[in-house]
Amino acid sequence: MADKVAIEFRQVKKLFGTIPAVDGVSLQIYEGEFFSLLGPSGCGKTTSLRLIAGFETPTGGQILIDNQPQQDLPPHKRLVNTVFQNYALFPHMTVFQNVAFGLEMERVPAEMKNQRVRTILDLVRLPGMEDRRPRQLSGGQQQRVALARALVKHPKVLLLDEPLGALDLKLRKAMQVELKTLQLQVGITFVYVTHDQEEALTMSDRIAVMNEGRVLQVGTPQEIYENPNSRFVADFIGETNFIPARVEQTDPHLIISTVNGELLTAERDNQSLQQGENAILSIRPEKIQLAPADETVSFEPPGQSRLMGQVIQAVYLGTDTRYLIDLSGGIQITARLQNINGTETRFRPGDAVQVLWDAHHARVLREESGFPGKSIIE
Amino acid sequence: MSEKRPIFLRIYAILAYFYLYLPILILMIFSFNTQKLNIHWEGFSLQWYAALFQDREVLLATRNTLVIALISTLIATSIGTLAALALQRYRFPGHQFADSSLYIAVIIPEVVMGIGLLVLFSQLKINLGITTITISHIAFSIPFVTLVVRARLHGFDRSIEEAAMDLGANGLKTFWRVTLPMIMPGVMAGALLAFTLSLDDYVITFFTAGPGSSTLPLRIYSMIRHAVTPEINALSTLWVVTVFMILSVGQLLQKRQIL
Amino acid sequence: MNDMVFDSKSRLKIGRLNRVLGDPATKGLTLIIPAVIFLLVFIIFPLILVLFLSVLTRGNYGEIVYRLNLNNYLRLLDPLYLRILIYSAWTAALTTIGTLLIGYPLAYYIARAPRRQRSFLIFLILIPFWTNFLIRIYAWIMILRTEGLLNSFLLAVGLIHTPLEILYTPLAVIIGMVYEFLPFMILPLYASLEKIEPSLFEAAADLGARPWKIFFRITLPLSLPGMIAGSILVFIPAMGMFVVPDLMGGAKTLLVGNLIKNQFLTARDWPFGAAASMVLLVITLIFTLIYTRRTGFGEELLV
Repeated sequence: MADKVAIEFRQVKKLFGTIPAVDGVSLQIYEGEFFSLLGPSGCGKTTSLRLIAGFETPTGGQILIDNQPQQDLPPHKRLVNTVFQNYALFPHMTVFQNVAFGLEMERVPAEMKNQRVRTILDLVRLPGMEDRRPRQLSGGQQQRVALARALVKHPKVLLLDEPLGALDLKLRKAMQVELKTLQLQVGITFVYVTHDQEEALTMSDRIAVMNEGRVLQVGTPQEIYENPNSRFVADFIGETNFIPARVEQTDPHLIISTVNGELLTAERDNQSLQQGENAILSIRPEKIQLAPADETVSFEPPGQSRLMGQVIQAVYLGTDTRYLIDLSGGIQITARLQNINGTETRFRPGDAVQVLWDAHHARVLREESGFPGKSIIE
Repeated sequence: MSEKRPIFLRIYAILAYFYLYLPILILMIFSFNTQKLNIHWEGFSLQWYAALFQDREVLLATRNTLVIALISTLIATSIGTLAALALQRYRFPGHQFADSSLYIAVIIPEVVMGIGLLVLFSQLKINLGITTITISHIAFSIPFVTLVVRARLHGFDRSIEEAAMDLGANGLKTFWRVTLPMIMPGVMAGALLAFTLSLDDYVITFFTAGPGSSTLPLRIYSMIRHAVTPEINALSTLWVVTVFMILSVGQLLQKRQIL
Repeated sequence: MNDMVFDSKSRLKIGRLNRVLGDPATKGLTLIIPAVIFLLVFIIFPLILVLFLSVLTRGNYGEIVYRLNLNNYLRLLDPLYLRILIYSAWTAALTTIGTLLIGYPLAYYIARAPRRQRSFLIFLILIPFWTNFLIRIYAWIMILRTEGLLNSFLLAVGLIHTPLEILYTPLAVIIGMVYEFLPFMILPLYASLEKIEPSLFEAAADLGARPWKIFFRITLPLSLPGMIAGSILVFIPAMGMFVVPDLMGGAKTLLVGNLIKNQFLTARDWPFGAAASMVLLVITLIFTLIYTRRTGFGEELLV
């Protein structure tokens, strides 16, 4: 991409004592994009954010903002601003004073300061709240004040640390849309930390999936979802089925054998799997088709894969029906079939079925949550 | 999270702690001094400790102090705990009045309380002595015990008591076997406070003590005023060490959840 | 409060309790009676007696003349006594400021220390104060005397050539009082500072504030409740202090406490002493009320 790089991590390491919170992270965040750091608790995403903000200094490696190394720059000198998880609003100041604080630190003249504060409060849709104290506001309102306070300074990059965590579901969903719209309006780079993969998928231009201090994969939501590069990413994002397998052949096609000896063809990918290696096949529930076992269906390997199984459970979920299927050998998978044709459940527990999918929808991944130690940058 | 504190703050803290400990340390060091006048260090000696143990007045005062402290602690803690339970859990006529009385008892200046008691005892023609001292100590300790125990009762989980009652325990049994053990740390803290207040008290004791009923603080005062020898240092050192040991034991027990 | 379950009108799930113990309000009264009796008899009633005493007069032989008048209070308006009152207030104020200046940096240091260290550091402050306070005063006497340790040290080092006269001056009284009251200022300050969420400091820095700016705009304002609490805890008792002036202040330094004590012991003018006590009590009550009206009774200070 020809876009400018707003933030760059070069082999950044951060140790707390002997524990590596961030373990050799390299990535590039482009100007104007909504970039999410996604991962479970303790994966290093918040630490990474704090490294950008300057609340932590790297033990190794470098962080650059706008191509400037940020090495010894304290937080108050960096051109980024943070929206904190608990909002961190100053309790002894009014909403107006909170938002104006950053501008006062810049010694913006009073006239302009007042105007900018009012404008930003309009932008986050909090007009008329200027004289209230934080404790008089609801969670959602406090969150917007925190946003306004950071945005009013026109930072190059806005850092958001799980800002929606404390809100109830409905409000959170509404705020996700608002935040995204805001970002597009204002046009600055957002770096967003979350553990909620659905949230990341909804809002982001690109996502970095992290675990144990390392970045496993960086890509657009589609790329991450359709093309996970490791078991961890496939598992963490959305729902998927894992079928243990062994690599039988890598050239010219990738052929694997499942536990019951069935052979399947799969898409060649860049995992450089060796013959004889243990692997897993990842196929998402919505990509699976079911047909009665005795029905003749047009089935064309290697483009299509098929396994035989028996329905254990059928759960009606409104939009689709979820089937739990046993594929002998102790493997169970989930299939989701959309309820286009109304309410009748097509398969019942006990039915023998053919489980079908397109080979290029499946991913063969290393058995361990294998990550190569460096990131895969798209 | 790195909480950075500037160097000058660290230096200041060290100096401040030094300033806090200086008087006591000097006192303790000079208690071993051979010289009588506490000016120069002459040599190491335990003579003042020996003198202390032979000082009848000091020994008498010590005995009095301990007796008064123990009795007043016992009574004040019992009364105070009951009061705390009453105030925290029940509505009754006079609740506000009781609350206010306790409040007044805490904020009243010691001098004023002292002379008040003096006036009372003289009007009632009661002779000043150990008894009057003890009564006074109980009076000023009760509000503090109540305060401490009340704070403890604040977050008390009533459902445990309800569970006990549900299992068949009546009110009294529930109190003895469930409530009391659960608030015991608070009661102990209150008792410790009452004990310390009594042990330490000078002002009120001063006004309610009669001739011949001396407590340790009163004795120390007159020693400071009149007969300044390192005996005071020895006494002070012993006091410091004793209190320190008692409280350390208390802290240890607390850490091990015994208290 | 959901502690107040046992109200004579409330229903309990456990009906047995009601039947066994009788009316909860009675129970409450029974529990509180001992304490109330004690307080009434030995604190409230004496105060009333003192009030009554203050409007009587002292006879020529030291006996009490039962004639109601306000002479004692009028006498207190005499410049001689007014000066004592003002001087007491002034000393108390200086003590408060002294403890604030000395105690604030220390409280801040501890509040920003790693969590595990904090209670230990506080514990460390309190240890010297578990000794009897007369002992501490004696120690300061030892240090501040003309032949005392401070002078010996300064003379030996050559910083001065004649001993400084500190003991038995107002300065000594201030030094002694500040030392005595330091924990009373440090603890509330610490409690207040410790409550400040660390993320507020980060947010301020994030928004461009340098360390000193953070202190003046965030830390100081948010520690104001602690400063007020500490000031009250120091100022009010300091006003009624008489031991420190007595032992360290010499004959020249008279505070209200000393005055009262003298009237009851040496001068034997009980009515006059009673009047002075009442004045002291009223001043104390006024200041306390002002404080509690603003912030409520600090039960959290107990922790």
